[in-house]
Amino acid sequence: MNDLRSKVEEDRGIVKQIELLIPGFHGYREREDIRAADSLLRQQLANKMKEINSIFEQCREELGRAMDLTLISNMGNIVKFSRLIENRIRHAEQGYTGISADFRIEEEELNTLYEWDLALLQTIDPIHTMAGELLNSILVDDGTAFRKMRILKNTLNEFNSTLNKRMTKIAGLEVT
Amino acid sequence: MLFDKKTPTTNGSGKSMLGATTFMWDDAAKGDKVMFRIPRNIIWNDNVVVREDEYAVFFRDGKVLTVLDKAGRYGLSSLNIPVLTELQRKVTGTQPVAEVYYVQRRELRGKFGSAEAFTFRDQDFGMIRLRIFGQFAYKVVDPVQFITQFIGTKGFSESDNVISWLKDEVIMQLNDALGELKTQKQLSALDLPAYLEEIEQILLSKLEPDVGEYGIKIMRIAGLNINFPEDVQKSIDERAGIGALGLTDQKQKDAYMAFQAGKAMRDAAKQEGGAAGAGAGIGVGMGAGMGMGMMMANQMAPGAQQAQQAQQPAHPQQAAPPGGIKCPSCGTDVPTGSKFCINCGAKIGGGMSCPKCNAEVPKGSRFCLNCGTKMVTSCPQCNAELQSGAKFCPDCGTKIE
Repeated sequence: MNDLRSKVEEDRGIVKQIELLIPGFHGYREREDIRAADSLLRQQLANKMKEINSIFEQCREELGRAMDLTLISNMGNIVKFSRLIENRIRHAEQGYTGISADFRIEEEELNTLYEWDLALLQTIDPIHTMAGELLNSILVDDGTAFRKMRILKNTLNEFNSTLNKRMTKIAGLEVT
Repeated sequence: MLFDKKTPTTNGSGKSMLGATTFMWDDAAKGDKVMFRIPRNIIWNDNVVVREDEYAVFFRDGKVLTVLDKAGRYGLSSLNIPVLTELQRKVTGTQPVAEVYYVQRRELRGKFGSAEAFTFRDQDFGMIRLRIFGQFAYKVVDPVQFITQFIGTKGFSESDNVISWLKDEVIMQLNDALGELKTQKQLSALDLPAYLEEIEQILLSKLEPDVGEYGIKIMRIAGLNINFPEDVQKSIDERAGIGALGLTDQKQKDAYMAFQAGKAMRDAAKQEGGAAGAGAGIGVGMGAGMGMGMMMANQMAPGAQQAQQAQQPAHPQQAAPPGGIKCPSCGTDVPTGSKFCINCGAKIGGGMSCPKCNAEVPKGSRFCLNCGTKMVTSCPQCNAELQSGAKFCPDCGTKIE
Protein backbone atom coordinates (compact mmCIF):
# COMPACT_ATOMS: atom_id res chain seq x y z
CA MET A 1 0.00 0.00 0.00
CA ASN A 2 1.32 3.42 -0.99
CA ASP A 3 2.24 5.84 1.73
CA LEU A 4 0.65 9.09 0.66
CA ARG A 5 2.95 11.01 2.99
CA SER A 6 6.00 10.20 0.87
CA LYS A 7 4.00 10.95 -2.30
CA VAL A 8 3.13 14.41 -0.97
CA GLU A 9 6.75 14.95 0.05
CA GLU A 10 8.06 13.95 -3.37
CA ASP A 11 5.61 16.18 -5.20
CA ARG A 12 6.50 19.34 -3.29
CA GLY A 13 6.64 22.31 -5.63
CA ILE A 14 9.31 24.99 -5.65
CA VAL A 15 7.43 27.31 -3.28
CA LYS A 16 7.03 24.53 -0.72
CA GLN A 17 10.70 23.62 -0.98
CA ILE A 18 11.64 27.23 -0.30
CA GLU A 19 9.33 27.24 2.71
CA LEU A 20 11.24 24.25 4.13
CA LEU A 21 14.40 26.34 4.17
CA ILE A 22 12.90 29.23 6.12
CA PRO A 23 13.62 28.95 9.85
CA GLY A 24 10.39 28.54 11.83
CA PHE A 25 8.50 27.58 8.69
CA HIS A 26 10.02 24.13 8.30
CA GLY A 27 7.88 22.45 10.99
CA TYR A 28 4.74 24.13 9.70
CA ARG A 29 5.41 22.84 6.16
CA GLU A 30 6.11 19.28 7.42
CA ARG A 31 2.88 19.16 9.43
CA GLU A 32 0.87 20.66 6.61
CA ASP A 33 2.10 17.91 4.26
CA ILE A 34 1.05 15.15 6.63
CA ARG A 35 -2.38 16.77 6.93
CA ALA A 36 -2.59 16.91 3.13
CA ALA A 37 -1.70 13.19 2.93
CA ASP A 38 -4.24 12.38 5.64
CA SER A 39 -6.86 14.42 3.81
CA LEU A 40 -6.24 12.43 0.60
CA LEU A 41 -6.51 9.21 2.58
CA ARG A 42 -9.81 10.29 4.15
CA GLN A 43 -11.21 11.14 0.72
CA GLN A 44 -10.49 7.55 -0.28
CA LEU A 45 -12.16 6.33 2.87
CA ALA A 46 -15.20 8.55 2.24
CA ASN A 47 -15.38 7.36 -1.36
CA LYS A 48 -15.39 3.74 -0.16
CA MET A 49 -18.25 4.66 2.15
CA LYS A 50 -20.01 6.26 -0.82
CA GLU A 51 -19.71 2.98 -2.72
CA ILE A 52 -21.25 1.17 0.24
CA ASN A 53 -24.01 3.77 0.30
CA SER A 54 -24.84 3.13 -3.30
CA ILE A 55 -25.26 -0.60 -2.46
CA PHE A 56 -27.59 0.38 0.39
CA GLU A 57 -29.55 2.58 -1.98
CA GLN A 58 -29.85 -0.34 -4.38
CA CYS A 59 -31.21 -2.41 -1.50
CA ARG A 60 -33.79 0.28 -0.80
CA GLU A 61 -34.70 0.45 -4.46
CA GLU A 62 -35.29 -3.31 -4.54
CA LEU A 63 -37.40 -3.17 -1.37
CA GLY A 64 -39.36 -0.28 -2.85
CA ARG A 65 -39.97 -2.22 -6.03
CA ALA A 66 -41.24 -5.16 -3.97
CA MET A 67 -43.32 -2.74 -1.81
CA ASP A 68 -41.83 -4.36 1.29
CA LEU A 69 -43.31 -2.14 3.99
CA THR A 70 -41.70 -4.11 6.81
CA LEU A 71 -38.08 -3.68 5.78
CA ILE A 72 -38.00 -0.47 3.80
CA SER A 73 -38.00 1.98 6.69
CA ASN A 74 -35.17 0.02 8.40
CA MET A 75 -33.25 0.23 5.16
CA GLY A 76 -33.96 3.96 4.98
CA ASN A 77 -32.44 4.39 8.43
CA ILE A 78 -29.31 2.50 7.38
CA VAL A 79 -28.96 4.71 4.28
CA LYS A 80 -29.26 7.88 6.38
CA PHE A 81 -26.76 6.65 8.97
CA SER A 82 -24.26 5.52 6.40
CA ARG A 83 -24.47 8.91 4.63
CA LEU A 84 -23.82 10.60 7.96
CA ILE A 85 -20.69 8.49 8.42
CA GLU A 86 -19.52 9.32 4.90
CA ASN A 87 -19.86 13.05 5.56
CA ARG A 88 -18.16 12.75 8.94
CA ILE A 89 -15.16 11.05 7.34
CA ARG A 90 -14.98 13.54 4.47
CA HIS A 91 -15.02 16.58 6.73
CA ALA A 92 -13.26 15.13 9.79
CA GLU A 93 -10.85 17.12 11.92
CA GLN A 94 -7.38 17.47 10.43
CA GLY A 95 -5.46 18.07 13.63
CA TYR A 96 -4.92 21.82 13.63
CA THR A 97 -3.84 23.63 16.77
CA GLY A 98 -2.98 27.28 17.13
CA ILE A 99 0.02 29.02 18.70
CA SER A 100 -1.11 28.75 22.31
CA ALA A 101 -3.61 25.92 22.06
CA ASP A 102 -4.98 23.99 25.07
CA PHE A 103 -3.38 20.88 23.65
CA ARG A 104 -0.93 20.64 20.79
CA ILE A 105 -0.97 18.26 17.85
CA GLU A 106 2.62 17.68 16.86
CA GLU A 107 4.13 15.85 13.91
CA GLU A 108 4.17 12.56 15.78
CA GLU A 109 0.45 12.80 16.57
CA LEU A 110 -0.33 13.73 12.99
CA ASN A 111 1.49 10.58 11.90
CA THR A 112 -0.63 8.58 14.34
CA LEU A 113 -3.72 10.26 12.87
CA TYR A 114 -2.67 9.15 9.40
CA GLU A 115 -2.12 5.58 10.57
CA TRP A 116 -5.46 5.56 12.42
CA ASP A 117 -7.23 6.56 9.19
CA LEU A 118 -5.27 3.93 7.30
CA ALA A 119 -6.57 1.32 9.74
CA LEU A 120 -10.12 2.55 9.13
CA LEU A 121 -9.64 1.90 5.44
CA GLN A 122 -9.04 -1.75 6.26
CA THR A 123 -12.03 -2.03 8.62
CA ILE A 124 -14.38 -0.59 6.04
CA ASP A 125 -13.92 -3.57 3.71
CA PRO A 126 -15.99 -6.01 5.83
CA ILE A 127 -18.86 -3.48 5.76
CA HIS A 128 -18.64 -3.47 1.98
CA THR A 129 -18.87 -7.27 1.93
CA MET A 130 -21.82 -7.24 4.34
CA ALA A 131 -23.64 -4.69 2.20
CA GLY A 132 -23.19 -6.92 -0.84
CA GLU A 133 -24.55 -9.92 1.08
CA LEU A 134 -27.55 -7.90 2.20
CA LEU A 135 -28.32 -6.94 -1.40
CA ASN A 136 -28.11 -10.58 -2.44
CA SER A 137 -30.43 -11.73 0.30
CA ILE A 138 -32.96 -9.05 -0.71
CA LEU A 139 -32.72 -10.07 -4.35
CA VAL A 140 -33.23 -13.79 -3.66
CA ASP A 141 -35.64 -13.07 -0.80
CA ASP A 142 -34.14 -15.75 1.47
CA GLY A 143 -35.69 -14.26 4.63
CA THR A 144 -32.37 -13.26 6.21
CA ALA A 145 -32.46 -9.60 5.21
CA PHE A 146 -33.82 -8.31 8.52
CA ARG A 147 -31.16 -10.14 10.55
CA LYS A 148 -28.43 -8.88 8.20
CA MET A 149 -29.72 -5.33 8.53
CA ARG A 150 -29.48 -5.52 12.32
CA ILE A 151 -25.91 -6.82 12.17
CA LEU A 152 -25.01 -4.09 9.67
CA LYS A 153 -26.54 -1.39 11.85
CA ASN A 154 -24.47 -2.61 14.81
CA THR A 155 -21.30 -2.66 12.71
CA LEU A 156 -21.97 0.87 11.48
CA ASN A 157 -22.55 1.95 15.07
CA GLU A 158 -19.19 0.54 16.09
CA PHE A 159 -17.51 2.26 13.16
CA ASN A 160 -19.12 5.55 14.14
CA SER A 161 -17.93 5.14 17.75
CA THR A 162 -14.38 4.59 16.48
CA LEU A 163 -14.68 7.83 14.52
CA ASN A 164 -15.90 9.62 17.62
CA LYS A 165 -12.79 8.58 19.51
CA ARG A 166 -10.43 9.53 16.65
CA MET A 167 -9.20 12.89 17.89
CA THR A 168 -9.44 12.29 21.65
CA LYS A 169 -7.38 9.11 21.36
CA ILE A 170 -4.75 10.65 19.13
CA ALA A 171 -4.32 13.80 21.16
CA GLY A 172 -4.16 11.68 24.32
CA LEU A 173 -7.23 13.37 25.79
CA GLU A 174 -9.16 10.27 26.80
CA VAL A 175 -9.62 9.78 30.54
CA THR A 176 -9.39 6.14 31.56
CA MET B 1 -17.64 41.87 -11.86
CA LEU B 2 -17.30 40.28 -8.51
CA PHE B 3 -13.64 39.38 -8.39
CA ASP B 4 -11.80 41.97 -10.40
CA LYS B 5 -10.45 44.07 -7.59
CA LYS B 6 -9.52 43.43 -4.05
CA THR B 7 -12.02 45.34 -1.99
CA PRO B 8 -12.82 45.21 1.72
CA THR B 9 -16.15 43.54 0.92
CA THR B 10 -14.70 40.80 -1.28
CA ASN B 11 -12.56 38.87 1.16
CA GLY B 12 -9.83 36.76 -0.27
CA SER B 13 -9.93 38.14 -3.78
CA GLY B 14 -6.84 39.89 -4.99
CA LYS B 15 -5.23 40.88 -8.26
CA SER B 16 -1.53 40.61 -9.07
CA MET B 17 0.53 42.88 -11.30
CA LEU B 18 0.19 40.33 -14.09
CA GLY B 19 -3.56 40.25 -13.66
CA ALA B 20 -4.03 36.84 -11.96
CA THR B 21 -6.80 36.86 -9.37
CA THR B 22 -7.93 34.69 -6.49
CA PHE B 23 -11.55 33.78 -7.04
CA MET B 24 -14.10 32.61 -4.53
CA TRP B 25 -17.88 32.44 -4.58
CA ASP B 26 -18.91 35.34 -2.44
CA ASP B 27 -21.58 34.55 0.15
CA ALA B 28 -23.53 37.66 -0.77
CA ALA B 29 -23.73 36.53 -4.40
CA LYS B 30 -24.59 32.94 -3.51
CA GLY B 31 -28.18 33.41 -2.36
CA ASP B 32 -30.49 30.87 -3.94
CA LYS B 33 -28.20 29.96 -6.76
CA VAL B 34 -27.33 26.34 -7.36
CA MET B 35 -24.60 27.29 -9.77
CA PHE B 36 -22.44 30.27 -10.62
CA ARG B 37 -20.12 30.90 -13.55
CA ILE B 38 -17.13 33.15 -12.91
CA PRO B 39 -17.90 36.02 -15.26
CA ARG B 40 -14.42 36.28 -16.68
CA ASN B 41 -12.09 34.34 -18.90
CA ILE B 42 -9.64 32.54 -16.60
CA ILE B 43 -6.03 33.52 -17.17
CA TRP B 44 -2.80 31.71 -16.40
CA ASN B 45 -2.27 31.17 -12.65
CA ASP B 46 -5.66 32.45 -11.56
CA ASN B 47 -6.44 30.89 -8.19
CA VAL B 48 -9.77 29.40 -7.22
CA VAL B 49 -10.84 28.83 -3.62
CA VAL B 50 -13.18 25.88 -3.17
CA ARG B 51 -15.02 25.60 0.13
CA GLU B 52 -16.29 22.44 1.79
CA ASP B 53 -19.81 23.12 0.48
CA GLU B 54 -18.84 23.76 -3.15
CA TYR B 55 -17.58 22.13 -6.30
CA ALA B 56 -15.70 24.02 -8.97
CA VAL B 57 -15.64 22.69 -12.52
CA PHE B 58 -12.88 23.91 -14.80
CA PHE B 59 -13.67 24.02 -18.52
CA ARG B 60 -11.03 24.81 -21.12
CA ASP B 61 -12.18 25.43 -24.68
CA GLY B 62 -15.48 23.75 -23.89
CA LYS B 63 -14.01 20.58 -22.34
CA VAL B 64 -14.22 19.63 -18.68
CA LEU B 65 -10.63 19.44 -17.50
CA THR B 66 -11.19 18.86 -13.81
CA VAL B 67 -13.70 18.90 -11.01
CA LEU B 68 -12.30 20.50 -7.89
CA ASP B 69 -14.30 18.67 -5.23
CA LYS B 70 -11.94 18.93 -2.28
CA ALA B 71 -11.80 22.07 -0.25
CA GLY B 72 -8.69 24.15 -0.87
CA ARG B 73 -7.03 26.76 -3.09
CA TYR B 74 -6.15 25.76 -6.62
CA GLY B 75 -3.91 27.50 -9.15
CA LEU B 76 -5.37 27.10 -12.63
CA SER B 77 -3.33 26.94 -15.76
CA SER B 78 -4.86 28.11 -19.01
CA LEU B 79 -3.44 29.26 -22.30
CA ASN B 80 -4.53 32.78 -21.49
CA ILE B 81 -1.13 34.20 -20.64
CA PRO B 82 -1.14 37.92 -19.83
CA VAL B 83 0.21 40.16 -22.59
CA LEU B 84 0.90 37.19 -24.92
CA THR B 85 -2.78 36.30 -25.20
CA GLU B 86 -3.65 39.88 -26.01
CA LEU B 87 -0.96 39.90 -28.67
CA GLN B 88 -2.20 36.60 -30.08
CA ARG B 89 -5.78 37.91 -30.17
CA LYS B 90 -4.72 41.03 -32.06
CA VAL B 91 -2.62 39.10 -34.58
CA THR B 92 -4.68 35.97 -35.17
CA GLY B 93 -8.10 37.01 -33.86
CA THR B 94 -8.37 33.86 -31.71
CA GLN B 95 -8.47 33.53 -27.97
CA PRO B 96 -8.54 30.46 -25.74
CA VAL B 97 -11.53 30.24 -23.42
CA ALA B 98 -11.23 28.94 -19.87
CA GLU B 99 -14.21 28.96 -17.52
CA VAL B 100 -14.94 27.94 -13.96
CA TYR B 101 -18.41 26.99 -12.74
CA TYR B 102 -19.13 26.81 -9.04
CA VAL B 103 -21.87 24.40 -7.95
CA GLN B 104 -23.40 24.20 -4.48
CA ARG B 105 -22.61 21.00 -2.68
CA ARG B 106 -24.81 21.45 0.36
CA GLU B 107 -28.39 20.26 0.67
CA LEU B 108 -31.02 22.64 -0.63
CA ARG B 109 -34.65 22.46 0.36
CA GLY B 110 -37.93 22.73 -1.43
CA LYS B 111 -41.62 22.17 -0.83
CA PHE B 112 -44.04 20.16 -2.92
CA GLY B 113 -47.79 19.90 -2.98
CA SER B 114 -50.41 18.82 -5.44
CA ALA B 115 -51.82 21.93 -7.11
CA GLU B 116 -55.11 20.09 -7.60
CA ALA B 117 -56.44 17.28 -5.43
CA PHE B 118 -56.07 14.00 -7.27
CA THR B 119 -58.70 11.30 -7.40
CA PHE B 120 -57.85 8.11 -5.59
CA ARG B 121 -59.96 4.96 -5.85
CA ASP B 122 -60.25 3.83 -2.28
CA GLN B 123 -61.59 0.55 -0.91
CA ASP B 124 -63.41 2.21 2.02
CA PHE B 125 -64.73 5.39 0.46
CA GLY B 126 -64.84 4.65 -3.25
CA MET B 127 -63.56 7.58 -5.28
CA ILE B 128 -62.06 10.26 -3.05
CA ARG B 129 -59.88 13.23 -3.67
CA LEU B 130 -56.58 13.54 -1.81
CA ARG B 131 -54.23 16.45 -1.35
CA ILE B 132 -50.56 15.87 -0.67
CA PHE B 133 -47.96 18.21 0.78
CA GLY B 134 -44.41 17.85 1.99
CA GLN B 135 -40.82 18.98 1.84
CA PHE B 136 -37.72 17.56 0.27
CA ALA B 137 -34.00 18.12 0.46
CA TYR B 138 -31.83 17.66 -2.61
CA LYS B 139 -28.23 18.12 -3.51
CA VAL B 140 -26.01 18.05 -6.54
CA VAL B 141 -23.90 14.90 -6.46
CA ASP B 142 -22.44 15.01 -9.94
CA PRO B 143 -21.55 18.60 -10.89
CA VAL B 144 -20.49 17.81 -14.47
CA GLN B 145 -23.72 15.93 -15.13
CA PHE B 146 -25.65 18.76 -13.53
CA ILE B 147 -24.00 21.47 -15.63
CA THR B 148 -24.09 19.60 -18.91
CA GLN B 149 -27.54 18.00 -18.61
CA PHE B 150 -29.53 20.28 -16.37
CA ILE B 151 -28.11 23.74 -16.83
CA GLY B 152 -27.12 23.05 -20.43
CA THR B 153 -30.45 21.66 -21.60
CA LYS B 154 -32.91 23.43 -19.32
CA GLY B 155 -30.99 26.63 -18.63
CA PHE B 156 -31.69 26.63 -14.89
CA SER B 157 -29.28 28.20 -12.46
CA GLU B 158 -31.61 29.39 -9.72
CA SER B 159 -32.61 26.97 -7.01
CA ASP B 160 -36.28 27.83 -7.58
CA ASN B 161 -36.17 26.55 -11.16
CA VAL B 162 -34.67 23.28 -10.05
CA ILE B 163 -37.19 22.96 -7.22
CA SER B 164 -40.19 23.51 -9.47
CA TRP B 165 -38.90 20.81 -11.82
CA LEU B 166 -38.24 18.42 -8.95
CA LYS B 167 -41.67 19.16 -7.46
CA ASP B 168 -43.41 17.76 -10.53
CA GLU B 169 -41.23 14.66 -10.39
CA VAL B 170 -42.02 14.08 -6.71
CA ILE B 171 -45.79 14.44 -7.21
CA MET B 172 -45.77 12.13 -10.20
CA GLN B 173 -43.84 9.41 -8.39
CA LEU B 174 -45.96 9.81 -5.27
CA ASN B 175 -49.16 9.23 -7.23
CA ASP B 176 -47.54 6.18 -8.72
CA ALA B 177 -46.41 4.88 -5.30
CA LEU B 178 -49.87 5.33 -3.75
CA GLY B 179 -51.49 3.53 -6.65
CA GLU B 180 -49.09 0.60 -6.29
CA LEU B 181 -49.60 0.46 -2.52
CA LYS B 182 -53.34 0.23 -3.06
CA THR B 183 -53.17 -2.51 -5.66
CA GLN B 184 -50.29 -4.53 -4.23
CA LYS B 185 -50.78 -4.01 -0.51
CA GLN B 186 -54.49 -3.18 -0.40
CA LEU B 187 -53.77 -0.01 1.56
CA SER B 188 -56.76 2.29 1.85
CA ALA B 189 -56.67 6.05 2.37
CA LEU B 190 -57.22 5.49 6.08
CA ASP B 191 -54.07 3.34 6.31
CA LEU B 192 -51.82 5.92 4.67
CA PRO B 193 -50.97 8.00 7.78
CA ALA B 194 -49.59 4.88 9.46
CA TYR B 195 -47.17 4.28 6.60
CA LEU B 196 -45.81 7.75 5.94
CA GLU B 197 -42.21 6.78 6.67
CA GLU B 198 -42.44 3.77 4.38
CA ILE B 199 -44.06 5.90 1.66
CA GLU B 200 -41.20 8.38 1.98
CA GLN B 201 -38.66 5.61 1.48
CA ILE B 202 -40.52 4.12 -1.48
CA LEU B 203 -40.71 7.57 -2.98
CA LEU B 204 -36.97 8.10 -2.53
CA SER B 205 -36.22 4.79 -4.20
CA LYS B 206 -38.49 5.69 -7.11
CA LEU B 207 -37.01 9.15 -7.56
CA GLU B 208 -33.41 7.94 -7.57
CA PRO B 209 -33.13 6.94 -11.25
CA ASP B 210 -35.21 9.84 -12.55
CA VAL B 211 -33.29 12.66 -10.94
CA GLY B 212 -29.94 10.82 -10.91
CA GLU B 213 -29.44 11.35 -14.62
CA TYR B 214 -29.30 15.11 -13.97
CA GLY B 215 -26.62 14.73 -11.30
CA ILE B 216 -29.07 15.41 -8.48
CA LYS B 217 -30.03 13.27 -5.52
CA ILE B 218 -33.12 13.72 -3.36
CA MET B 219 -31.68 13.22 0.08
CA ARG B 220 -34.86 13.08 2.15
CA ILE B 221 -38.57 13.69 2.14
CA ALA B 222 -40.00 15.25 5.27
CA GLY B 223 -43.35 16.38 6.59
CA LEU B 224 -45.35 14.25 4.17
CA ASN B 225 -49.00 15.13 4.71
CA ILE B 226 -51.95 13.45 3.04
CA ASN B 227 -55.25 15.29 3.50
CA PHE B 228 -58.73 13.93 3.10
CA PRO B 229 -61.51 16.08 1.69
CA GLU B 230 -63.97 17.56 4.16
CA ASP B 231 -66.84 15.13 3.55
CA VAL B 232 -64.62 12.07 3.99
CA GLN B 233 -63.17 13.55 7.15
CA LYS B 234 -66.71 14.14 8.41
CA SER B 235 -67.74 10.55 7.91
CA ILE B 236 -64.56 9.38 9.62
CA ASP B 237 -65.43 11.65 12.56
CA GLU B 238 -68.95 10.24 12.66
CA ARG B 239 -67.66 6.70 12.79
CA ALA B 240 -65.17 7.70 15.45
CA GLY B 241 -68.05 9.31 17.39
CA ILE B 242 -69.92 6.01 17.39
CA GLY B 243 -66.82 4.25 18.62
CA ALA B 244 -66.16 6.85 21.31
CA LEU B 245 -69.71 6.56 22.64
CA GLY B 246 -69.22 2.82 22.90
CA LEU B 247 -72.30 2.07 20.84
CA THR B 248 -72.00 -1.59 20.05
CA ASP B 249 -75.63 -2.48 19.55
CA GLN B 250 -76.92 -1.95 16.00
CA LYS B 251 -80.10 -0.28 17.26
CA GLN B 252 -78.12 2.26 19.24
CA LYS B 253 -75.90 2.96 16.24
CA ASP B 254 -78.94 3.48 14.04
CA ALA B 255 -80.47 5.81 16.59
CA TYR B 256 -77.27 7.81 16.82
CA MET B 257 -77.04 8.15 13.04
CA ALA B 258 -80.70 9.20 12.86
CA PHE B 259 -80.09 11.78 15.55
CA GLN B 260 -77.06 13.14 13.67
CA ALA B 261 -79.03 13.35 10.43
CA GLY B 262 -81.92 15.11 12.12
CA LYS B 263 -79.54 17.56 13.73
CA ALA B 264 -77.88 18.26 10.39
CA MET B 265 -81.23 18.98 8.75
CA ARG B 266 -82.31 21.23 11.58
CA ASP B 267 -79.04 23.14 11.27
CA ALA B 268 -79.58 23.46 7.54
CA ALA B 269 -83.05 24.90 8.14
CA LYS B 270 -81.59 27.56 10.45
CA GLN B 271 -79.18 28.81 7.79
CA GLU B 272 -79.99 32.02 5.97
CA GLY B 273 -80.24 31.88 2.17
CA GLY B 274 -80.17 28.68 0.15
CA ALA B 275 -83.03 26.26 -0.13
CA ALA B 276 -83.28 25.65 3.58
CA GLY B 277 -83.40 29.37 4.36
CA ALA B 278 -86.77 29.97 2.73
CA GLY B 279 -90.01 29.59 4.62
CA ALA B 280 -90.72 26.33 2.93
CA GLY B 281 -87.23 25.20 3.85
CA ILE B 282 -87.95 25.90 7.50
CA GLY B 283 -91.04 23.78 7.23
CA VAL B 284 -89.14 20.98 5.60
CA GLY B 285 -86.34 21.30 8.09
CA MET B 286 -88.64 21.22 11.06
CA GLY B 287 -90.69 18.42 9.56
CA ALA B 288 -87.62 16.41 8.82
CA GLY B 289 -86.22 17.10 12.25
CA MET B 290 -89.43 15.98 13.86
CA GLY B 291 -89.56 12.95 11.60
CA MET B 292 -86.05 12.02 12.63
CA GLY B 293 -86.97 12.52 16.25
CA MET B 294 -89.93 10.20 15.84
CA MET B 295 -87.75 7.69 14.06
CA MET B 296 -85.21 7.87 16.83
CA ALA B 297 -87.90 7.44 19.46
CA ASN B 298 -89.23 4.43 17.60
CA GLN B 299 -85.81 2.89 17.35
CA MET B 300 -85.12 3.43 21.01
CA ALA B 301 -88.37 1.68 21.95
CA PRO B 302 -87.98 -2.06 22.60
CA GLY B 303 -89.07 -4.16 19.66
CA ALA B 304 -89.68 -1.10 17.56
CA GLN B 305 -87.16 -2.13 14.96
CA GLN B 306 -88.84 -5.43 14.26
CA ALA B 307 -92.17 -3.67 13.97
CA GLN B 308 -90.66 -1.10 11.67
CA GLN B 309 -89.11 -3.78 9.53
CA ALA B 310 -92.44 -5.55 9.31
CA GLN B 311 -94.05 -2.33 8.08
CA GLN B 312 -91.50 -1.88 5.33
CA PRO B 313 -92.61 -2.88 1.81
CA ALA B 314 -91.30 -6.15 0.45
CA HIS B 315 -89.39 -4.33 -2.32
CA PRO B 316 -88.47 -0.98 -0.86
CA GLN B 317 -86.18 -0.19 -3.82
CA GLN B 318 -89.26 0.46 -5.93
CA ALA B 319 -90.25 3.49 -3.85
CA ALA B 320 -88.99 6.67 -5.51
CA PRO B 321 -86.55 8.71 -3.38
CA PRO B 322 -87.98 12.16 -2.69
CA GLY B 323 -85.07 14.34 -3.75
CA GLY B 324 -82.47 12.10 -2.11
CA ILE B 325 -80.73 8.78 -2.60
CA LYS B 326 -82.26 5.48 -1.74
CA CYS B 327 -80.20 2.96 0.18
CA PRO B 328 -79.38 0.00 -2.10
CA SER B 329 -79.50 -2.32 0.93
CA CYS B 330 -82.67 -1.44 2.89
CA GLY B 331 -84.31 1.11 0.58
CA THR B 332 -84.46 3.92 3.15
CA ASP B 333 -84.36 7.44 1.72
CA VAL B 334 -81.16 9.15 2.75
CA PRO B 335 -80.13 12.78 2.16
CA THR B 336 -78.21 13.54 -1.03
CA GLY B 337 -74.49 13.37 -0.49
CA SER B 338 -74.71 10.81 2.34
CA LYS B 339 -71.98 8.24 2.39
CA PHE B 340 -73.74 5.77 4.64
CA CYS B 341 -77.39 4.77 5.15
CA ILE B 342 -78.95 6.35 8.24
CA ASN B 343 -80.99 3.19 8.81
CA CYS B 344 -78.76 0.19 8.17
CA GLY B 345 -75.34 1.87 7.88
CA ALA B 346 -74.70 0.40 4.42
CA LYS B 347 -72.27 2.29 2.19
CA ILE B 348 -74.00 4.58 -0.27
CA GLY B 349 -72.55 5.09 -3.72
CA GLY B 350 -69.06 4.14 -4.68
CA GLY B 351 -70.40 1.64 -7.15
CA MET B 352 -70.83 3.50 -10.39
CA SER B 353 -70.19 6.84 -11.91
CA CYS B 354 -72.38 8.46 -14.54
CA PRO B 355 -70.78 8.31 -17.99
CA LYS B 356 -72.19 11.77 -18.82
CA CYS B 357 -71.83 13.99 -15.73
CA ASN B 358 -69.49 11.70 -13.74
CA ALA B 359 -71.69 11.93 -10.64
CA GLU B 360 -71.52 9.02 -8.21
CA VAL B 361 -74.67 6.90 -8.24
CA PRO B 362 -75.61 3.88 -6.09
CA LYS B 363 -74.73 0.51 -7.51
CA GLY B 364 -77.56 -0.97 -9.54
CA SER B 365 -79.13 2.39 -10.43
CA ARG B 366 -80.70 2.53 -13.85
CA PHE B 367 -80.54 6.29 -14.20
CA CYS B 368 -78.16 8.96 -12.95
CA LEU B 369 -79.63 10.82 -9.99
CA ASN B 370 -77.97 14.00 -11.15
CA CYS B 371 -78.60 14.26 -14.90
CA GLY B 372 -80.96 11.36 -15.56
CA THR B 373 -78.69 9.58 -18.07
CA LYS B 374 -79.52 5.89 -18.49
CA MET B 375 -76.96 3.86 -16.60
CA VAL B 376 -77.66 0.40 -17.98
CA THR B 377 -77.10 -0.44 -21.62
CA SER B 378 -77.88 -3.63 -23.44
CA CYS B 379 -75.65 -6.04 -25.32
CA PRO B 380 -75.89 -5.59 -29.10
CA GLN B 381 -75.54 -9.37 -29.57
CA CYS B 382 -77.86 -10.98 -26.99
CA ASN B 383 -79.65 -7.88 -25.65
CA ALA B 384 -78.67 -8.72 -22.07
CA GLU B 385 -78.50 -5.80 -19.65
CA LEU B 386 -75.05 -4.33 -19.10
CA GLN B 387 -73.74 -2.24 -16.27
CA SER B 388 -72.41 1.20 -17.12
CA GLY B 389 -68.81 1.04 -18.29
CA ALA B 390 -68.89 -2.75 -18.92
CA LYS B 391 -66.26 -3.90 -21.39
CA PHE B 392 -67.76 -7.32 -22.10
CA CYS B 393 -71.29 -8.75 -21.99
CA PRO B 394 -71.65 -10.94 -18.86
CA ASP B 395 -73.93 -13.38 -20.80
CA CYS B 396 -72.35 -13.92 -24.20
CA GLY B 397 -68.92 -12.29 -23.68
CA THR B 398 -69.30 -9.92 -26.63
CA LYS B 399 -66.84 -7.04 -26.51
CA ILE B 400 -68.63 -3.76 -25.92
CA GLU B 401 -67.29 -0.80 -27.91
